[in-house]
Formats: sequence, structure tokens, C-alpha cells
Amino acid sequence: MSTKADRIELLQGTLDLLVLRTLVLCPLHGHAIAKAIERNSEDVLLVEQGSLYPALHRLIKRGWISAQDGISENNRRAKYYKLTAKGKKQLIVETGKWEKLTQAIAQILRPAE
Amino acid sequence: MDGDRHLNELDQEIRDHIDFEVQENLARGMTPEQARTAASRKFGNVSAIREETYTVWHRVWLQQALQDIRYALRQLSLAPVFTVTVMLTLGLGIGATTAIFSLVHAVMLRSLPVVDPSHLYRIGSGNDCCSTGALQGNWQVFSYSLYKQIEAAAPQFDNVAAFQGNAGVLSVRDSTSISQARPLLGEYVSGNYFQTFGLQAFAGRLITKADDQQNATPVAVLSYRSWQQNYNSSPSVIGATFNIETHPFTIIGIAPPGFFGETLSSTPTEIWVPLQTEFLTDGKDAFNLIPSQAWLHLIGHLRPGASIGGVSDALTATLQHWLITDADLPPQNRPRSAEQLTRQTIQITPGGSGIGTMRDAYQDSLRLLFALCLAVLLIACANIANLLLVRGIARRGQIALQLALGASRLRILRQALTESSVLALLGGIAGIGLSWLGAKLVIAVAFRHSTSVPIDVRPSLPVLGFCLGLSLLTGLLFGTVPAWLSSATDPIQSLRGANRATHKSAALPQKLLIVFQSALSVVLIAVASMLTHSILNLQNQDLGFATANRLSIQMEPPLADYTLDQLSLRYRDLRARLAQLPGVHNASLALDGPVIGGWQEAVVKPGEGMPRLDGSENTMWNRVSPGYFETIGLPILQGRGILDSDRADTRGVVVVNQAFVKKFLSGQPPIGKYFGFHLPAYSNAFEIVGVVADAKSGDLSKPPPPMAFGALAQHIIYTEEILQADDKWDHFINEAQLYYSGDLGTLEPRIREAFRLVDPNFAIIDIQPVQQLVDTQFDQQRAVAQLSGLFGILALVLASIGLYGVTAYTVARRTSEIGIRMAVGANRTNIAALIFRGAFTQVTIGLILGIPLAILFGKLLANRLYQVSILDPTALLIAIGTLILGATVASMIPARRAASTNLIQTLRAD
Repeated sequence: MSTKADRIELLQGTLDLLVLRTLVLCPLHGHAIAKAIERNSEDVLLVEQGSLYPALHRLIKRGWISAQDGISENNRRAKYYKLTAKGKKQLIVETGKWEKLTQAIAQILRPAE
Repeated sequence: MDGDRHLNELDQEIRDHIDFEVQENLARGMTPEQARTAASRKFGNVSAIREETYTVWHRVWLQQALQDIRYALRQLSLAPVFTVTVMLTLGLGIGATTAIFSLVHAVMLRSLPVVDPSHLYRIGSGNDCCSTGALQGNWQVFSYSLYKQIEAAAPQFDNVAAFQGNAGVLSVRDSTSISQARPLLGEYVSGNYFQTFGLQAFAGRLITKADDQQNATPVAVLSYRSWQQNYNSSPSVIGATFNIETHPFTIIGIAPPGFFGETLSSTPTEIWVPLQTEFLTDGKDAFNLIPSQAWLHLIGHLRPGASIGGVSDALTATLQHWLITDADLPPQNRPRSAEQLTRQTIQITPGGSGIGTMRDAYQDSLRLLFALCLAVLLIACANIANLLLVRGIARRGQIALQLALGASRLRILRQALTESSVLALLGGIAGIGLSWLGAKLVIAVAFRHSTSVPIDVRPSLPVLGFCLGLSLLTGLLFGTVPAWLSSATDPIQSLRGANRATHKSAALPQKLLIVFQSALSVVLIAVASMLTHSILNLQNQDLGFATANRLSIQMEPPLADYTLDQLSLRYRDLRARLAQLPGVHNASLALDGPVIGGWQEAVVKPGEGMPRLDGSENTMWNRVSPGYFETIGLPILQGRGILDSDRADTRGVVVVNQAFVKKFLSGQPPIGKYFGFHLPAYSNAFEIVGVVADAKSGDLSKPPPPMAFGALAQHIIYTEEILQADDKWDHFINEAQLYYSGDLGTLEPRIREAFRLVDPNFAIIDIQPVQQLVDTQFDQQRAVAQLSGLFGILALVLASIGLYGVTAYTVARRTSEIGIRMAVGANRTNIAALIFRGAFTQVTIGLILGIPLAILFGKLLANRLYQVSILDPTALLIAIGTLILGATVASMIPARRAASTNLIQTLRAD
């Protein structure tokens, strides 16, 4: 587990991208999404778990994900979030944007020799 | 609500989420308590997350705004005295400013009620009315002959309409009745006049080009107002035949209700007749026949895309060509050099708002009043800012609590600004009502002697918009300082210190506001005093002629069909009949009475060349009947006045005044000297037989001009036709004067009867005491002085209330300090002095700043002031005195309260 000092706070809007990416494979409930993000970033990204929820509501309002009721692994009713067709398209757009951004920043930080 | 469902679901999810986390933590081996704490910490601030989610689904800013407004209204209703005070203060400030703005809008900004005013352009500029053939430089008025040339030379105009530069009175007699002719303000207009303005008749039809032909049936159009007031809106008027200047005219229609003519004036046109009928009414002396007689203003509808500069240049060329070839100017007025000719130009100027006689007359006054109103409004704002500051400080504990509970500084700022905006809007609503009343009041004050005021000040959209904008702006203005200060509160300190903290930062803005108010009030009161001083000087001045028991009968003899001999007979008859009326001591007739002003002529003395063109050798010129000087009370100093023996067949005589002797005879004995007008050939026309005292004439704020009075019964026989016409016109007199005692009410019908017996076609325009004519001339200045006095008092009252509020507040805050002072031996006088000193420090600084400002304003006003020096000590003393008085009263009450502080109670209270 990384120490607290190594953790990075998320950029504005980045959380949306991560949520969309996490939901590509299958619908998940909130806690599972939070866990997945933490796991996949190997605990580098600092997510206040609760901040996930406003992001989820934002994405629903934009029509990029939808919510449906389901039963969780420990047999409880839970809300499952699923990527919509519009959300899939948006994921491609956002991923492209993100790559451009990281490339551009990388180029500034380490100019080609 | 949909958003609430989302929130409920969110709560469930949050509980689930934390449960999951707790389970995991338990699995890792934590105690249940540790597990729950860790899960909560990892999850974060639940209420912040709820709020953030909420904002996803709601238009939060709107809700918050509504919430703020509701909160503000609740707060205000909890403090009714405060709210009403603010509303009244603001209502007065906003109302006064809006009232003046609505006048500014009506007089200066509004377009004529015509189609497409933006394409209307004046040909020429300025408001001069008429000229008998002088070179004008930048041309303003045009003769009929020049009008025709310009119309032909300006294809860029759709229409060029011509109309009489200064509408005159036409004698109009309903031919079906035997009544005396009615004087209507009439205007000769070209056939395309109404078409150029794009107007439709209210009833019947308007004048067309076909009516404006020499052989066409004479027609006339009545103004809606005249039709209403003089003819009871009777439909039978349309198509009826009226005798205008004794000639039969058919009334063909009524102009639209909003159209007061192309000139905004306090005496709007009542009847329009075609330009060509002037040949009928003025006979062979018609202005239209004289190429040099400039009496028409021109306005046209410019085609889109035409260049104004290009048209101006083309018309200037036309003018200069016309001056050489066709102008036929009187010999003394002809251009004397090529250079003088090139200085004659025509400019195209915007004409959408008509001819601005009134605009020019009132704009300075309106600007001044507008500035004064804005100053009052600023004082009101400063006042309310102070009141709000006091409130804000009292509420500091509450704000501190809000801040401590996590409200953002922005939110508190916004809440404070919302409260001030709500207050301002309430003030604005009060202001609309007050502005409407205010505008009516201003008009009543400014036009107290006018019968008809062509100004519509009902709240219009621009005025309402202005009022709303002004309210919001004032809200922002007086809300900013308190809002900023209240949000700057340090929660810890405030909560700890409660209301006893003596924060310097909060007291300073309050004091500065008082300084600012005091300075502005000094300026306002000084300005008001200077204007009042000036109007008092004007009213109490020695005019030179008498006004007591003097009556002026303004009249209009019909111009055509009377030979000068016939007129002479009627004049003599009229004077005799008037003189015989009971109570009348003396009666006379004159071209112009003592107040109205009148003609100017260029003096030529024997042995001298042509008079100069620039007016420097002009004298005022009047034709008077015998008895004139006695009737108007002008003392004869040397020689004699005009007598019955001065007849057409005796030598030409003239009476001059002292200013004339000084200017033209450089102090030589005047009796027996000769002079004449226009050309050297006529320099022997008049012999001076008497000298009268100087008297004011025309503009009563100017020094007495040189004046010459000729005998009404005499003529100069000029050989030049133009000058001959000139001589005839100066025998069409405008006024009869009476020196009388007794009741005007019983005299007036007898006067009218006398006129009817002499000739029913002699129209009486007005019968007025001379004093009233004098008063009317100062109406505007008096109105401005009175209104600025009103604003000055308002400013002072507001400033005093502000000072009172702040002083009272200071006393309340310093109660314990005062208690301690008393405990250590201060007596009541010491305490009162302490409070007075505090209040007067600010007022004194205000005075120190305000006095130089007031002097500066005096300098700006200099040209409006009559015999008031720029540094008017009286005005300054009054300003200083009233401010000190106001401040004393305002600080007296709190000082007394402070002095009567009960020592024991105070010390126990804390």
C-alpha cells in the first residue's frame, strides 16, 4: 500500500472518465465502482469514496450511464450502474481527449531530445 | 419532487456503501467501532456529497435566490421602521431622479410622433425664426424662393417640407357665428408637410400638394387639441367654412392626437394652412413674394445611403449661387466680399426630434436639476448604506454563526446584496409613483402660466426602465460596503466579543459616508441658495417701466385687405374706445409692449456710410401710439412723447431712450438730431423729439437696450420695395396697453366688446396683467430655484437622519464606556460634549470638502446667475448654517441620551 504522500488528487472531470471506463465491462454498484478504481490505480489515486455519487448522478443526468436495481453479491438490493450507448461514445471521446492532454503535458515536461 | 426521490435513493446508497466498507474492515480484523469510523472517514463529508448531488438535479442558484429574497423580505418585515425609512428615502431619491429623467426624455430625447424619424433631417440648423434678408452664415431660415431652389437641388431627399419658422397667430372666425375672431396659433406649411412626416389624419384628410396651389380652394387642418378645446370635438367642424384672416377656408381634417407640430414648444400649433394661401392672407406683401424674406424652416426625408456631407456641400453650392443671382437682398445686406460669400453654408442636421426650441430653452435647466437629483440620490444611498451598516454590525453575531456553520463568504455576500436589492426595488416601486407625481409637479411649477403643455410625462417604457435600472444600481451602491464588511467578520472574534467589540473597521466607513453626505448637502444647499438669490434679484429688479395696474392686451389685426390708412383709423378708434372704459386712466397701442421685446433695425446717421451687418449698430425699434409712455409708466426725461399731432403728413419724429443717446450720440444733446434706418439715403427720416428713461425689453435679465419709438401714424416712404414692405409690417401692431384701476373681471368683457365694435376681425390673443407677463418670463428660473431648494432641503434632511443614526448608534455602543467615564467623574456636560465632538468632526470635514466644491459649482452656474457673484457669501453662509443646524438637531437627541446615562444600570448591565 502506498503512503499518503504518494497519492494524487483527481483532476476535475477525471473521475467521470474513470467511472465510464470502469463500467465498460459490466454494470456495477457504487461501492464496487469505488473499489475497482482504487484497485486499478493501485491505490495511487485518492478518491474520497463519497464523491463518486455526485459524479454518478451527473453522468445519469447527461445520459451517459443508467441505473437499475439489482441484487449484490451479499444478497442485498443495490443500484447497478450501466454504460449507455451514448456513454460508450463519450468514453471514446473522453479517452482521446485525455491522451492528447497527457501527451501534451509529457512533451512539455520532457521535450524530445 | 423528482429531485427528492434522487436524494432518498442516495441516502440508501450511502448507507449501503458504508455497510460494505464496514464489512470489509471487519474482515480485515478491525473492531466494529474502528471499522465504522474508518469507513466514514474514507467516505467523506456526507452532507457535502448530498448537497453536491442535489445541485445536479436542481437549479440551485434560482432556488437560493428565491430563498434569499424570502429571507430578505422576512428580515425586512421584522424591522418595519427601518424598512419604511429606507423605502421613503429611496423612493424620494429615485422618484425625483426619475421625474427629472422623464422630463429629460420628453423634452430632449423623444422623437416626433412620426413615421421613421431617424431618416428626417433638418436642412440648416438652429432656431432663429425669421430674417428680412440678412446673411446668416450657417443658414437656418429660408425664403420661399430659396426653398424652391433647394428642393430642386436635393434629389437625395424624398420630400423637402417647408413650414413657418415661428408659428404666428391667425385670426379664425367660425363664419356661422357672429362671435369675435378666435386667435389660433397657425402655421403655413408646404403641401407635402404631413406626407414628409408620414402622418394620417385623425378625421377627414390632411393637406396635400394639390391644396398647395395658388388657385386651389383654401383649406386648413386643425390640431386635435384645438379641435377638442376650441370646438368641443364637434364633427361638423370638418367640412365647415371658417374665415381665416377674413378669407373663407374649408376645414378638411383633424391632425392625429399626438402630433403637436414639428416644434416642441409650450405654445403648440393649432391650425395648419397651405403655404400658398399666404398670397391670399398677406396680399401683395406676401412673404412668399419677397426672395430675401427668410421665414421658412426646412425638413426632409433623406433617402437611405445618402451622404450627409455630400448633400450639405451640394446645398451650400446652391445657396451661394442663389445669393449672387436671385436673392435680391436688401442693399445693405448684400455680400460685400467673395470671402463673405464663402462663409454662407447649409448644414444637414438630424431632424427626428423636430425643431428644438424648447429643448434649447430647457436643456441646461434640466441637466442642472438632473445633477442635483443624482446628488440627492447619492446622499440617500450613503444614508441607507449607513443604516445597513448599523444593522449589519448588530447582526454580526448571527453572521459569525452562519460562517462557523460552513456558509461560504460568497453566500453571505450574496445574501446581503439580495437584501439591499430587494430594498432598492421596493424603493423603486415607491419611486415610480413619486416620479409620476413629481413630474406633474415640476411641470405645474415650470409652466404655471401656460394653458397647454405639450409634454407627456406619463411613465413610459424608457422611463420605467430607467427607474428599474436606477433602483438596481442604487441597491448595488448602498449594499456593497455593508455586504463586504459583514462578510469580513471574523467569526471567532465576533462570537467571543458579541456586540461589545469596538471594531475600527466598521466605524470608519460610516464616518466617511457622513463626511460625504455633509459635503454633498453643502453643495446642494449652496447651489439652491445661489439660484434663489438670482431669482430674487430678477424679481426685485427695477425694470424701468411700471407693472402695477398695467394691462397688456395681445392682439392680432388681420394683415391683408387693410390699407395702412384704414388701419390707422381703426387704431385711433380702438384707442379712444379703450380709454373711455370705466376705470381706465390711459390706453395706448404699440408694435410691441414693454415686456415682449421686438424689432431691431440698423441705425444710419446723416453723413455716415452703410451700417455694419453684424448687428453692432442695431437699436430696438417700436411703433407706438400717443400716450404710450404714460400708459406703461416710462418717464419722459427731455422733450416730449408721441402726440396726436404726429400724423402721416407731419415730419417724422422719434423718441429715444438714454441707452440710445449713449450709444449713438456719445452724449451730445439729443433733441433735434436726425437718424434713419437701412440706407444712407434715409438717414434724415426721424427727428429726435424726446428722451425717455431706460427700461428693460425682451430678455429682462439683460441690461436695458438702446430703444427708439416712432409714431404709429407715420411712415417712411422708401423707394426700395423690400424696405417698403418692412415699413408696412411694422404697423401691424401686437399689443394694446391699459393703465387702469379696479376689477379686471368686469373690465375684460368691456375690452372684448370694444374690440368687437371696432372690428370683429381684430383677434384678442390674451389679456394679461403686465406683472404676470414679467412673472412668466422668470417661470423657468423660479421653478429651477424652487426645485433645487426642495432638493437641497431633502439632502439636508437625509444627511441629518444619517448623522442621527450613526451618532445614536455610537452612543449605544459606547454606553459602558460612558458609564466608566461618569464613574471616574465626568459630568453630563462632558459627556454631551464628547458626543457632539464626535458628530461634528465628520460634519466639519464635510464642510471643508464641500465649500470648495460649492464654489466650483458657482463658477459653472455663473452664466445662469443674475447679479450673483461666483463666490456668493450669503449662499455659502446659508449652506454652512443650515448644515450645522441640521447636525446639531441630529446629534442633540443621542447626546442627551448619553448624558442621562444611568451609571449604576450601565455598569450592572454587562
